[in-house]
Amino acid sequence: MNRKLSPRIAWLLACLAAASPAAAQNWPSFRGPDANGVAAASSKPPSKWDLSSSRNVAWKVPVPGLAHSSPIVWGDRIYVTTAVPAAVGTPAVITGNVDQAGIDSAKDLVSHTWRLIAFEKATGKILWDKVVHQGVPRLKRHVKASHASATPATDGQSIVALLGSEGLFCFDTSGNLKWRQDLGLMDVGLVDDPSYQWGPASSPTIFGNLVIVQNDRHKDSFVAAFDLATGTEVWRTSHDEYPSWATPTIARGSARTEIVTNGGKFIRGLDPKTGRELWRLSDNQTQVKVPTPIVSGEMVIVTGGYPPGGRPIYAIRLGRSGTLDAASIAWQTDRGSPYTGTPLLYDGILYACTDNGILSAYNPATGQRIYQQRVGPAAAGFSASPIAADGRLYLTSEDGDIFVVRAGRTFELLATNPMGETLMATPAISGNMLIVKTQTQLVGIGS
Amino acid sequence: MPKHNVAALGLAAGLLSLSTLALVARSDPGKGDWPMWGGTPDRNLVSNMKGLPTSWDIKTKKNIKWVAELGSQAYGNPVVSNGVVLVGTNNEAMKDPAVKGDKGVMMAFRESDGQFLWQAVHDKLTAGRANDWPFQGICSSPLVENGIAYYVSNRGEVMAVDIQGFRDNGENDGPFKEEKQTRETDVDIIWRYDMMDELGVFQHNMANSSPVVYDNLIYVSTSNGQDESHVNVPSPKSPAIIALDKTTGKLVWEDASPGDKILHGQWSSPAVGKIGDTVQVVIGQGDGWVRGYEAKTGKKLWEFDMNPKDSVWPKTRNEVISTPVIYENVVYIANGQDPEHGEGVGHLYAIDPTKTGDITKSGLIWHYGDIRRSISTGAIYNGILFYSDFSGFLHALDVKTGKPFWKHDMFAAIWGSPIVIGDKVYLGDEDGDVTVLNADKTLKVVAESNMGSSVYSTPVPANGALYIVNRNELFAIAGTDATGSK
Repeated sequence: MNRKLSPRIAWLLACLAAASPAAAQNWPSFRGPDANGVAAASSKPPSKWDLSSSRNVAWKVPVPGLAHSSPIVWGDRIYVTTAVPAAVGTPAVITGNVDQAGIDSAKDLVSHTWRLIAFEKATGKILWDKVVHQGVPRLKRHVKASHASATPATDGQSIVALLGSEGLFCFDTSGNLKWRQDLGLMDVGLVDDPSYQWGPASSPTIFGNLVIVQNDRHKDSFVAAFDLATGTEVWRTSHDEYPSWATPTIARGSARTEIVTNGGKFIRGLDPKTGRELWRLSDNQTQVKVPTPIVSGEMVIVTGGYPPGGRPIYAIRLGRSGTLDAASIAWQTDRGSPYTGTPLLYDGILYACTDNGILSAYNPATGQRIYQQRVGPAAAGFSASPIAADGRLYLTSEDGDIFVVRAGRTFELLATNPMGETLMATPAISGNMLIVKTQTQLVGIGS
Repeated sequence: MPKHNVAALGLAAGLLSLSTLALVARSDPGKGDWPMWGGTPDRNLVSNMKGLPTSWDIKTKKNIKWVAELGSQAYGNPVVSNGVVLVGTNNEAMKDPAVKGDKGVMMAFRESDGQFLWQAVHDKLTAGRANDWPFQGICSSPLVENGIAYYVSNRGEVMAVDIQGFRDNGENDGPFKEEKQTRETDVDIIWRYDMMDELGVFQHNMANSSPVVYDNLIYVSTSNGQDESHVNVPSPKSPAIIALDKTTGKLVWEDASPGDKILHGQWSSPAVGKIGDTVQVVIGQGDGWVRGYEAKTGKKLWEFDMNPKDSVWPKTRNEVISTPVIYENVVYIANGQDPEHGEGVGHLYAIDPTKTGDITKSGLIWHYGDIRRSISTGAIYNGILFYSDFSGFLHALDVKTGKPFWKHDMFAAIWGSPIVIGDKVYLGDEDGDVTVLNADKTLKVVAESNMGSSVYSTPVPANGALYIVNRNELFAIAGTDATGSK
């Protein structure tokens, strides 16, 4: 990608992603292009690989620290954020099955260095490794979380990394800091008890020349847009919300483009130019939101929430105004929504994988369930979101397996690929390569 | 990433349960009340009651007799006795507008129409989450005998209260007479026994035990456990199980076998059954063992390790949250963990309680390893043991051999337990579905009804109606059943 292109033209090119071979390499944000989790049609990553024999494994490189952020890809480069504690022996992540400490915060308030690392995609070679920030984290994290859970975003010229309470940072592709904004404390945790600090995870979203961030926290929640070039705040919309971990989505309907945010009190549509609230849907069934809204034609599908039992899937019509009524809901289920993972719309079917590994396929037009199936007999603990390429779904489990399932109306498990360590991050797909961030390393699978 | 505990602990309390003595009577006779967790002291979740609906609809109100509002969360199982339905919850329903803030609340409703009668309100402990998790209310399922309800409060008190409250002509039953309020909507306390004060118990997150009775004694787990460090057991010498005189509330015997080996908390509830010539109290304990005691004296008769010797907490070694079932001289119980810990491997055993000492080897009748972590209690009917696990599977096994007949996937976590009513199995799940299946060696789902929010409890039958608690409501379900098919 020509670095001299104006942001506007780069943006246009990004819109043409599917048509361009170069863009087929790009996975520029959490869940890739438009956060839809679907690789370019020409992408053909393998369905089976073996780490020990390196079959179908291009390379693997160690990554220090602890980070649940996803790798992102632009052109021939991969960018990864991480938070590296100074002290040896600080606690690692504790996943669902071994959660001895309940919902407590991790005890790792030691000095950390937050780093942004650029890798060469073909070889895994580190091109540069920048220390973005150094210090003791301003807030604690959940034992299952990391101090670098938000995925960075890029438009090919700038890389934006939201490092929680440490700030929002923007770099050029050489890793030079362009600007930094302090979003204040991103203080998120237990709804009824602010003394619990769990650490944020909402990722920044690039929309044209704007960086959109959602900062739903115990007090003074807001959504804001910053100028990608300068870091100047363009708008900020305050609202009353519970803490959330969801990433805002850009929904391009035929009538207009909306930012859709998933919050515990309301699901909202905002005007991307001004931040003005266009619509809201009260979601008083649940409080805690993690998944990202996803776009399905003229609808946006919104999931998540705690507690379970009344955890709906909403299919909301775009282009509406005010407090949404029943006519604005194309369909809704009263349960079946994952808590953590974002659903996936692929080839005309909506897939949702619950945290305990139950994969359901739905008709996205009607919400009718096509099938419900356990991914594997003991496949429990899915925090990463499913992604798709070449007629297959890739499901990443905390236990360290990547399950490959055939897309379609009938469930078929094609392969189970053990990665040998805890997996929290959603992988990326670029060309014929699946890029997996494990607990300790970055692995290029395929070619 | 954010994980809420919430229910985690409350859970167990209510979920645990029993069958009887004639004294040690066996199983519900099929008519009448449901006076305790499990129906009878042996905790076998079986009732012969006929004519209960297998399908209903909370939206159209089909077969819904009445609905009562509870607090925002309810983990206790309902019991029905003397025309009163009792269920534990929190104070978010504000039945008494003068009582504000988070409390543990035991609510009483009129069985005939769901009218709210009275409530017992228990302040939260100032220690907070360590001993008394916010908003989980009262997780204990009461035991009712002779018009007296016994339960464990969120403060670790064993309570004996008048099931009629002050509605029996305002009579203040004692010895306890210090009630501040004696209105019709207040609780009439007969006695209370504070396990934290009297025994130095440090309950982990919540005291939840559902009491059981034999003769003049009431038995409860103390819920003694680790502190917030999740390493240290602050009161290793405090008992895991106690027996109280049911008339006076005085301590009769205690046992602290788990000592400092408690892995986490203790949320199993005791069962009572006649084994040979001896009436035993059997309970799962926090070190992962299940133990049997002579009911009269508290003499420890046997103990059985429910974990493989090479297992490691918390990955493969489990605590015991389920309530044991005693059936024809055999104890049936599975192990598992706090729901907050997620899914994992589990173990289900048939144990011979006629053996003595460490009977881990000598008392093993069969072991079933194809179960996941479970906090459920079993139901034995017609040679079939029905047992559910937290991953969402209902297992039907040959009670004699442990060989599976079938396995049904509910696709949602199961906190409650299967119960056989008539010839049907009823089972609720976290998605709020209550599934009805044939209680048979062949798998057949008869119906499924959704309750609108998670069902953490077990459906119970009483006097021709079915009672189901979802997260914040109590449903009485009765009426004709159209076809019973889906």
